[in-house]
Amino acid sequence: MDTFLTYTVFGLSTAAIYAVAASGLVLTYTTSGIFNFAHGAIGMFAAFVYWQLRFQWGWPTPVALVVVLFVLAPLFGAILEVGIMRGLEKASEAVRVVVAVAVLSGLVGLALWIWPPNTARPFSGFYPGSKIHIAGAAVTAHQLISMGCAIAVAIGLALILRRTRAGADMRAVVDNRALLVVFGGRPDRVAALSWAIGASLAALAGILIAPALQLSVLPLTLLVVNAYAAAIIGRLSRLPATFVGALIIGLAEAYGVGYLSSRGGFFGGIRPAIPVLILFVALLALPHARLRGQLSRRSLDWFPSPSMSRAVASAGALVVAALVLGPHLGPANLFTANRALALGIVALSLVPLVGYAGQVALCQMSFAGIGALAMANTAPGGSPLGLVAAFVVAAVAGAIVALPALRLRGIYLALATAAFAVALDRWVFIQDAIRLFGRKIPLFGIYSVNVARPRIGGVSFGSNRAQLVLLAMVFALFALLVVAIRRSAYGRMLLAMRESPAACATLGLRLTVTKLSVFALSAGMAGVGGALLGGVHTAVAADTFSFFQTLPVLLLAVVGGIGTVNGAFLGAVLLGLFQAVARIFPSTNNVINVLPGLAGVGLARNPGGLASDLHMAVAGLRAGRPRRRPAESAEVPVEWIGIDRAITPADVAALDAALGMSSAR
Amino acid sequence: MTAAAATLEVEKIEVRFGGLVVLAGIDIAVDRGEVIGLLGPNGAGKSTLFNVINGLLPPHAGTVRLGGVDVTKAGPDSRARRGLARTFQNLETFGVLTVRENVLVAAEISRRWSGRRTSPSAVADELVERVGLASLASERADALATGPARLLEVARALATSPSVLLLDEPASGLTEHETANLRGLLIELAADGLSVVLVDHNANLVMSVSHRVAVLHGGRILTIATPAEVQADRRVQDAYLGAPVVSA
Repeated sequence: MDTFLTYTVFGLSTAAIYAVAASGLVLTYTTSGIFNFAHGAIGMFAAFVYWQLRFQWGWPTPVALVVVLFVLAPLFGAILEVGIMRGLEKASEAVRVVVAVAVLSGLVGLALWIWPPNTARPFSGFYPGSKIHIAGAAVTAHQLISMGCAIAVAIGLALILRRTRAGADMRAVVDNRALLVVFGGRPDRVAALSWAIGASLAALAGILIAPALQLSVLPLTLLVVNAYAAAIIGRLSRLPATFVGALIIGLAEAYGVGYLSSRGGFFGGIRPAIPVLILFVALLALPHARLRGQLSRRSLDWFPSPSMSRAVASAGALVVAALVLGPHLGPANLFTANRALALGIVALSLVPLVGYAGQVALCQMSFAGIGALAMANTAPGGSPLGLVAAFVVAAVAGAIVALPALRLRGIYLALATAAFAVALDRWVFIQDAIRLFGRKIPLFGIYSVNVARPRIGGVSFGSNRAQLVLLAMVFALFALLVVAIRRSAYGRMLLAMRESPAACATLGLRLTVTKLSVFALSAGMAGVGGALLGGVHTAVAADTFSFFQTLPVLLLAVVGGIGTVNGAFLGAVLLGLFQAVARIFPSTNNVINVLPGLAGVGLARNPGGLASDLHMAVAGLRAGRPRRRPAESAEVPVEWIGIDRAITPADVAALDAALGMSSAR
Repeated sequence: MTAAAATLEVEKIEVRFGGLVVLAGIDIAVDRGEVIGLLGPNGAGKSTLFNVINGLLPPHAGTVRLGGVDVTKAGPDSRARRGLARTFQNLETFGVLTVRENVLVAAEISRRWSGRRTSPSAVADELVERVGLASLASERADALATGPARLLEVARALATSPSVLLLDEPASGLTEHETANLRGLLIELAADGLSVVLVDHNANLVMSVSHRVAVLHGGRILTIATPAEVQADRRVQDAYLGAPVVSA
């Protein structure tokens, strides 16, 4: 009974922290419509800043707390909203997700830079050592404070939302932004304010959870993923339900620690994955979103349809370049190039899925990991059948993930795939083996797995140089496949589905089948990329394929231009360049960790990516003048719908004539 | 006007949004080759009715039948496969595709389920020409002005070779010339056996192409009759002028 109580207290105090984090998330989402993927990263960063002030510089606790919670965090939140998120109002949901992911990635890079991970940073809770006993269970002061904070936040938010003008505006902006403007409200100010409060709540959660977790970047960032589950249970809009959600997750996790951790076997390891599994289930339990129209809007998204002959020429040029360059590269550069090309194949796999079909998935490296395992287990000698197995197994896994995720769109899909990736990281990949259909299939375990380099038709691609050629060939083949898809009826269907699922359905398209197929195809391609990446490293561990590894690949693919094969290639080149620069100038390593994030944030201004910019520049050079993308037309008053050009004197004359007015008096 | 001959039948359709009754028992039957005009002030529930017929919005009560088959529970894709097509008042063109690709992809999708042998490419070229968009064929759809975009939606809907076509304000934003072309096209299509339900604020267009006109007001059908009868109807004039409605 005492243990039960102890775990209950532990569960309640974590639940309190999740509730604080989740309510901040709900607040920002409802008022700005942007799901802040970086919420956890903000909490992590704030915990580090607090540690710096409180423990490193020895500031008094209250001063450090006030500075972090009431000055720095709100300032950061407001700047984030004004500087980045506000520009996304008209962006596609995919771009919104990617930009928020970029902020996350940038904060992680920055934290790793400022606070290098290999130092111990003791972070004690409030009033360490003091505890009270309630009904036989010890409750630490820190736990009590955590629960008190949650209650205070609940009351505080209720007061702000119900009793203040700003709160009334916040509730109004959720209902109807335009109407709020008519009534003299300032939706922009409201959004900035709610992001400031949201960031402050993230910071509070980060500071409260850090003592339990040690101060380390990735676990802290991911920990708030647990709070996402609570926010989803609150359907991203209801604070009381969010608090209930936090309670469920906190307690489930605590009882998991108490009663599951001693058990062995596959399900014995499930404990760390409990919150993300709850997130997954909560997402699936969301009511089915009705297919509804979404006004067509002008976008800068760019999906060129290159001619096949041109694509073949480019693909051939890539392979020739690999043959020619290979002998001139040293081992380190060869390794960098090989790794970048393997990741480039994964980036390429995102083009049909994220680019054409508009489905933002955050688990591409997990599919790559499945592909690497398939290669390792079926082709220890490097048989090309291993690559086929990598494609098939990863495609099947892709379809299995897609099946429940099919009804989800936008951020919900991104969250579900992130949950899948984290569940694999924390639970499945680190197991030694899994039994499927009576067969024991070895997984990564806590060490690494050897992945053979392919031998195809008696030709061994064992050397690094031969690897480069092989990778270039596979990349070229997949690139041709993607171009062929773009030019095909299937490719047009994917783009049409991206633009208007409702219109596609009214044409008789079965959205389920189409989504499932593109998920499977994309996962299969990523699987082959993963198998080859395994070969590049020869031995790979689970963390090569973790959730965090997906982020730079996705970001750079999108920055390169997610709508094109060239974009994926540019993404790969950037990855390679970043790595090469970091190797030659080790001091730049940290800057480079931040770059994908920065580049991703820049997307808010240019969703077509670098490939589109380069294309415009080249086209401009050819034409002898700089060519610009057509500017978005200015907003037209509603009475003028159908007229999207300035009225000329001729129009005025025609109107006057029609109205019987003479303009020449 | 017997039910057996109707290609589209709507019976006792009710839709509520919260406490607000948007449709309070709508009955319409459209025969093969018939054009029914649907008039009504803003907020009368015209687009809502289209969403119910098309399967985007489940009604609280009532039945929708296509070719005599009850499709009330079927999704929009299944209804499309039974010959229903529509356009959207709020444009739903495929913005990143060209005009021709928009029509082409519709023909390609419908070829998959219909098993028709006609080349989608030929269908696309013919329809783009027929609605008068040939000169804009390789423009991106999101670069079109409202008028051409509406015509594109019409062409895209026709690419599935429907037997029933729902047109939601196809003429708003069209020039006089474009509207005249649309009128000609609708008359041709109806003569070929297509059933059309037409919602538009251009009363001239509606009156000149419709065989019957239904007037929707306050979630009910005020009257359904020939254009001439409707124009003479006192209640219709009252509804449009905002005078209190005499109970129908």
